[in-house]
Amino acid sequence: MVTLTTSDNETFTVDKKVAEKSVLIKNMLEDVGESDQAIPLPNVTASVLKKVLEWCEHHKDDPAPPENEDKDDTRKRTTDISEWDQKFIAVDQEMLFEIILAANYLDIKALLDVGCKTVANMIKGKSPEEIRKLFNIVNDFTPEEEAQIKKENEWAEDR
Amino acid sequence: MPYPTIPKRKRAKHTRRRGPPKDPTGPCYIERLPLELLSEIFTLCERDERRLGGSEIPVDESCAVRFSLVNRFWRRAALCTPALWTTVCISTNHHMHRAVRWMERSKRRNLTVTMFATHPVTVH
Repeated sequence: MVTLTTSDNETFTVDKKVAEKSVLIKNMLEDVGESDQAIPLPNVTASVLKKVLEWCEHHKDDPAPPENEDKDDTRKRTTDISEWDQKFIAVDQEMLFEIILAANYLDIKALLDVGCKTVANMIKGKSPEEIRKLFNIVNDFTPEEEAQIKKENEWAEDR
Repeated sequence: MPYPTIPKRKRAKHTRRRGPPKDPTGPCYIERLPLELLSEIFTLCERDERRLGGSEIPVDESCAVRFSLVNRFWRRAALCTPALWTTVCISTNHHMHRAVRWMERSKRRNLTVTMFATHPVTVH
């Protein structure tokens, strides 16, 4: 078993196989060897780690991804998210982005993919204004800057 | 042996930016993402839209243009995402300088180039 301590000082004790879905934790266990000490995770809160560990538990028996996976177009299709993962990631935006950041920090590539694909699906086909509205993004361009960017790309107007 | 202290945000090479002013209508959680993750999301989205729409997507509706127009940070992320700039459409000589700009932004990625020419064009 492996003990993990979160930024808000909560402790989780999990199966080593589950914890080692995180490459960061796996490397630390390999570097330090057998130890009873808790592994500090100063960038992850308890509520987020709980969700991440839920994902790790469900996927603990998944085969390791192939080395050259990035070159495989089919894997990268944004709609390619399993039904279980879709339900798992159906959370509010705050949790969604915290899961993505935690997966990036803990180096859990498959979970990071699920998060990134989910956001990609959310912005697919949307206009800049729709994207701003969806995520509460402030348009910080000056009117001149915005006009300049549009001008750079107005391919369609003189077809 | 104690575990070494993990540096904050070890894997996020580009630390959180100083974002634009907060929208009073609600918090903006996506702005927590570092640039390289936003760029990864752009690549996924572009690939999917391209797969579904092929070369039929008008350039001004492309991911490159739409994402560039969201805000300054998204524009920076778009400019750092070569995959967004790999489909170049040239139908008049007038388009050449814009095509060159897109090709520069695509870095060393493979390009999809579509040309419609009714008269000889000059490329320098």
